[in-house]
Amino acid sequence: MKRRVPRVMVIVLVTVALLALFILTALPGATRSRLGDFFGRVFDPLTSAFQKAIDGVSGFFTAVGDNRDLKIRVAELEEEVGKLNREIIENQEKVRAYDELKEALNLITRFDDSKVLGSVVLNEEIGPYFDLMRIKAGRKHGLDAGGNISYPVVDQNSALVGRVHSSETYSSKVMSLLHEAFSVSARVDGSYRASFRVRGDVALGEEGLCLGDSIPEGAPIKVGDHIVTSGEGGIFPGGIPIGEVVSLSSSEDGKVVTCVIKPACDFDALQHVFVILEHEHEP
Amino acid sequence: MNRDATIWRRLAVYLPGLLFAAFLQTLPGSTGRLVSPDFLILFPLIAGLWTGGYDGFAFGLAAGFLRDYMAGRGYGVGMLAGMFVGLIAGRLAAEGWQRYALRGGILVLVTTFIYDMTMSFFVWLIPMGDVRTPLGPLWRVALSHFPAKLLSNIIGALALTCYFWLAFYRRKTKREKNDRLEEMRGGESLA
Repeated sequence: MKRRVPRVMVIVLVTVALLALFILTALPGATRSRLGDFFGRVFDPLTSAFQKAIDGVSGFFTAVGDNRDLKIRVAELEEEVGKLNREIIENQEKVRAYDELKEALNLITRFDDSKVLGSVVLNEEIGPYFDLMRIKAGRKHGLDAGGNISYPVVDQNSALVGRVHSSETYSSKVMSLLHEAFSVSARVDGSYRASFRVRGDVALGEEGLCLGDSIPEGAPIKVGDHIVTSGEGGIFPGGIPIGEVVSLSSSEDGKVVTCVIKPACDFDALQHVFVILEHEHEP
Repeated sequence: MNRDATIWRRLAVYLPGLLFAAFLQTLPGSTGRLVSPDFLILFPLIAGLWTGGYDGFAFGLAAGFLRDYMAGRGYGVGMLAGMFVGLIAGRLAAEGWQRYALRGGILVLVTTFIYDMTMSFFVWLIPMGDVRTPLGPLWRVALSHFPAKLLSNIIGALALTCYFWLAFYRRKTKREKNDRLEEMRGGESLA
């Protein structure tokens, strides 16, 4: 029993220290950033290396699988057709890379008055409270979010992903469009008035949807409409695609009160993102 | 269950295992997977049960820190959760597969339930934006995930058990084999 007292003390001390750390880092400020800066130097390259290794291994197995399929095809088809098919398969990857590059290029020309920073998604959310994703772009790359300063994040099709929550030296955390703390001013694509709010919702987020509310009376909104950012609010430039209206709900007097939006961004396949760094950023 | 493994061997098994599990769990594109075990909470739990002592405590802190760093709103909550899970698992560690399976099973069930409910409570307690989501919907969402999460975590716990069994595998020496034989003979004669 005598030996256990110091151990219990250690546990109590660690608990108290962690509670203090929790309170300190719950507030936006330097503590969270410093801890992340220190650890990120070692951990972020490890994450990237792991992802590359996984890509390599899966690439190997895919190649083996593809090769087997190819052999069956070659046996079935004439020699000439087989040759052509092989060439097509070999070129498919190049075509995909070309398309991605073209899309990225379109993205840059779309936001030509802003600087666009490409980045890799390091990790996804891990459930409640651990609901931020990490991207490989930080203060070293010109991203200095935190407090009231934030940046819009879009995918390769320039659809809205979310906004940067906080930045560290080499990486940043991103709050997705589905997060309950996320909100953005929006409008129906093609209309230049009647902006409303699009925000994340806990229940809808589970189905990969978000909520449109504060819809002004007479707003021209119907199911199937494409919703884009309105440009109001200072963080998000106007015209970024958010998603498509899938349902509307009305009050007793028939006025549209809220709408459910299916985001244009495919969060399940999200591996690369683009952060829009505006030239003159207003907090 | 290897209480006698040296600290270096434990480190050599646990550290790369923890990093691999963490990377695997948070790999982009893994959200839609059917089975997605929460390795960052299972690791200290199984490590605590496997080697007992304060291994679960230490690796709970490490796993919690990784969780906080990767996706947390701040630091501390993940570490606290990991630490307590590891501590409890360490206290419940016992020799024998039957006791390991029973205690491990109960711990996985209880931890899966309490963990998500507690974290949902923290989401409500410390809201990030201006909107405070009521606790009811948060707990409802957590409960709706419970069966799938439990199944995933049981599969994850089995995978970790296999990993630890292989990593800590030690061939029995001739003396140990003889001792075992003696024990069996003694048992037979008593019978």
